[in-house]
Amino acid sequence: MISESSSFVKGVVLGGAFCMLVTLLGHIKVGHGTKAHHHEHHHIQAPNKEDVLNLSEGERVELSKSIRVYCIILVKPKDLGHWAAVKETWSKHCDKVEFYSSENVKVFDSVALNTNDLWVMMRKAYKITYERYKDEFSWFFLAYPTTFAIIENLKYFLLKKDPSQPFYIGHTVKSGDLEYVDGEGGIVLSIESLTRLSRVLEDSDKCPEQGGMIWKLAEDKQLAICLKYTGVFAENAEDAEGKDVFNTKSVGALIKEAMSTHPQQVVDGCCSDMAITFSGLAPNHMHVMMYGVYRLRPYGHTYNDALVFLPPAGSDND
Amino acid sequence: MAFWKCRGSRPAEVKGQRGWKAAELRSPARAHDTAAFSQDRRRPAGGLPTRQARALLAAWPDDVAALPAGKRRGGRKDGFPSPREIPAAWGVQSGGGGRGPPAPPTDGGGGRARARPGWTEPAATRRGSPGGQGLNARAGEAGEGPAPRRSPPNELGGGAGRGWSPSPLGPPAGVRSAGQRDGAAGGGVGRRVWRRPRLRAANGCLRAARLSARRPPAGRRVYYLQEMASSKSLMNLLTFTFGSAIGFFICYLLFSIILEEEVKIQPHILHNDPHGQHSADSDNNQLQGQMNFNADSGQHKDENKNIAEGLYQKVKILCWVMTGPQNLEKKAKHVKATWAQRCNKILFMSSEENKDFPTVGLETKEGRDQLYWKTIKAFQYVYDHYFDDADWFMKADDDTYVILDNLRWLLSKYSPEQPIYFGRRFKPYVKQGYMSGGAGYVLSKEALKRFVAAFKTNKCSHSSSIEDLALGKCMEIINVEAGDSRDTSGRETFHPFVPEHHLIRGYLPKTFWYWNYNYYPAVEGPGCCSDLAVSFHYVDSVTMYHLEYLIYHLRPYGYLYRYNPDLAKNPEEQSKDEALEDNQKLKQKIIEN
Repeated sequence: MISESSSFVKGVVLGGAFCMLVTLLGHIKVGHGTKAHHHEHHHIQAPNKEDVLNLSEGERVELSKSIRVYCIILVKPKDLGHWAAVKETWSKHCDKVEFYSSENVKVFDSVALNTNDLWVMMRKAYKITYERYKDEFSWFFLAYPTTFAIIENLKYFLLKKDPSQPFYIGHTVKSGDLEYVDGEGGIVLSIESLTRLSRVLEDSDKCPEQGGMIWKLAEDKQLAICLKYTGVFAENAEDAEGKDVFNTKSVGALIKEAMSTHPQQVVDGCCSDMAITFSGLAPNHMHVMMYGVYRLRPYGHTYNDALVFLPPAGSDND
Repeated sequence: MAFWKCRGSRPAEVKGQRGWKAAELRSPARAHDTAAFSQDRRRPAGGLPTRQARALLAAWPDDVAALPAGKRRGGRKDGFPSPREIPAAWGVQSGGGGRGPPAPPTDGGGGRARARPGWTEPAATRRGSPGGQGLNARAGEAGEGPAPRRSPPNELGGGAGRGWSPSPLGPPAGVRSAGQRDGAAGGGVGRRVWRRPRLRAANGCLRAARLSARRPPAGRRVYYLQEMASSKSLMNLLTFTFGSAIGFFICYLLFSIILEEEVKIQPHILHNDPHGQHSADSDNNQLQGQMNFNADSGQHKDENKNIAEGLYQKVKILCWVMTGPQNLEKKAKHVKATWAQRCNKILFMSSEENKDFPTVGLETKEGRDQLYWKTIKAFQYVYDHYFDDADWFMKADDDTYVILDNLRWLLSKYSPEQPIYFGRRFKPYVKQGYMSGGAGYVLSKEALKRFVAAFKTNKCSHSSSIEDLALGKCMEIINVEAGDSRDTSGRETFHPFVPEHHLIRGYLPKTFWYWNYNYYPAVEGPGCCSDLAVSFHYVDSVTMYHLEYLIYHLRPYGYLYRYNPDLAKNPEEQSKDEALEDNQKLKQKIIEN
């Protein structure tokens, strides 16, 4: 009896220790990545408001017509709730949006990719996008269904940037040597980057479908690796005051985080006025964000914006 | 037999059997055995050739004899003394080799068998003598017996002290395999110096075993012991594996809970009482600090607040927030950090005065039943001290978020000399309807004057503790009109819940009181809430900052809002183009100003 119970206890302890070891090993790999990502960034800033105001009327009209954003949303059937929310809310503001799904779903239109692996999905989506739309759009925005994006702010951010330059923009994270854009915050590619990407995707040495040896690399890291071979580097997007405009968390989470590090004090506002994305949202939260961003406002505050974006036709939910 | 009285079904653990492994037990060096057998002993043709064997068998329990070999190997789990002990107890071997049956195979073995069934081996084997043969000769019963100790590699070797050898048991040839096992067991033991084992009294079995150890053992008992020992190791291994699986699983669960960053869906707060009960507040979202979004003035350089500032001067609003000493740090603080500063005058009303916050002391008690008292006294206080400083007097809770700019826009169309008050209008109990307390309500100057006067002249009294209902009844008595606070497109502006509860279809169940209380038809989904909403209720501290950020800071650049509040009352009559045109004209006007 005692020998059995002792062997049982030994077994429990050993199992726990082994599991802890495995988890910590895996976690340290990730943790190491997110730790230090401060000063070796490439930063890229939003245009200054005053500069924009100085544009002439004609230039403004030109600009608002020429910046066209194509949205890629990678979905899986299990994300149906989020998918529906995205479809009903912010994705209407893209010039064109398409849902790339791992498999065909009856309820919604999507481009079926027939694979469950996110990296393979991403590759296929980018390939298809390049083939079909390389002449129609200058910017390509990829997001997950848990992300809420304000396309107008994205366009403002890209206002003075030349799409024939290789841009790869988002919320960047440094993992060892690799600086990559975190997919949760949304990934923005210029047409030049997309062109280079579609070339390197053919090269299975540099950009294989199965990257990483033991641990499978996340798809956003793989993308960064592939792009690096073509000379395209990730850049962190910030506003004029240095705040991130692509966020990988929700507003509530960011507020809590900011306050928890400084309890009993008054902290600076968490987020930019020109924020483009928030992530980690439940479908309900997307509707709340939609209302809060595009509708709820204080009377009597007006802005002189260089661009004008009209609400999409045939919808009252924006 | 004592050992059958064991408590529990596990065999007693007997220590000191390092060398014993189930494997060894179960896989006797059969090859050796059989070789030995074939060399040294001749197996009887089967059956029981000798008289002694038969006698032995008679002593063998029927059931065991009836079991097929395999079953017997599985063994019983009664407590049995270890092989090592038994010899000592019986003084059979260890040195007692002499006593062993060195006798020539048949006779010696046989004789031995009779005297001590199954215990001839030790000596015999140690001697490496043909005792083994004797066993064999003893006939089928011992059939296997241990291989002669002479075969060293075999566990059975080293008769050094073990001496004990497993059973010759009486089983007929059929049970040979079992015997072989036992042989192996004995062999394993035989390798070490035999010590008097320490008997641990794990349970009664052991004691019983000890008892039985003193008796001439039935061959079967030894047999059982070996089986039990091997099965025990097996059990140990099993429990070890099981334990490690459990440990791994638990640890994995813990880690996945700790490391997971899941999207937390806010608890579904359903307030079952329309009259603003706050008892169900959770402390989960209690924030310690404050956040100041206004520090980023750089981001607002292109913001034109002229109209808002004009309204600030034109429509003076005094806000008083119903709070209490226990909520100052938890809730009122966040109100103060966000929307309260936009009032022309802000007062925090509590049962006790607090000079630091500051709060006004109303000299009441705290509690839900005191709400109306607090309201009456608060309005009285405001009338006494600040009547001339404002045109409109807004009451809010410490979990209400009020958008003052939109309130001013709503009230700008009315005169403060009108006896009117606004809020989220409910229809029951009062003919003209009454305003929900939680969503907040605002009284005109005239309305306040009449209200205070009514208590002096006893037109109204503290008729009930349900604050909003009682106030609504009083308002009706003193002829203050219950106004329609909806915007020009008919959407509600005062909200008794947070935006999520109104915006999500199906969030509030159809049986909820809310649907029956609304004066105007209640809408859920995007049509629920005006773009120029005035208030939300049940707003926790994080949501206070969240709303502040969404309303006053985050905005879609260049976006032309669909709803234009400055159009004439019936926007449906105008085409969309016209609306846009008006919008552009308005923008131009503003730029010129």
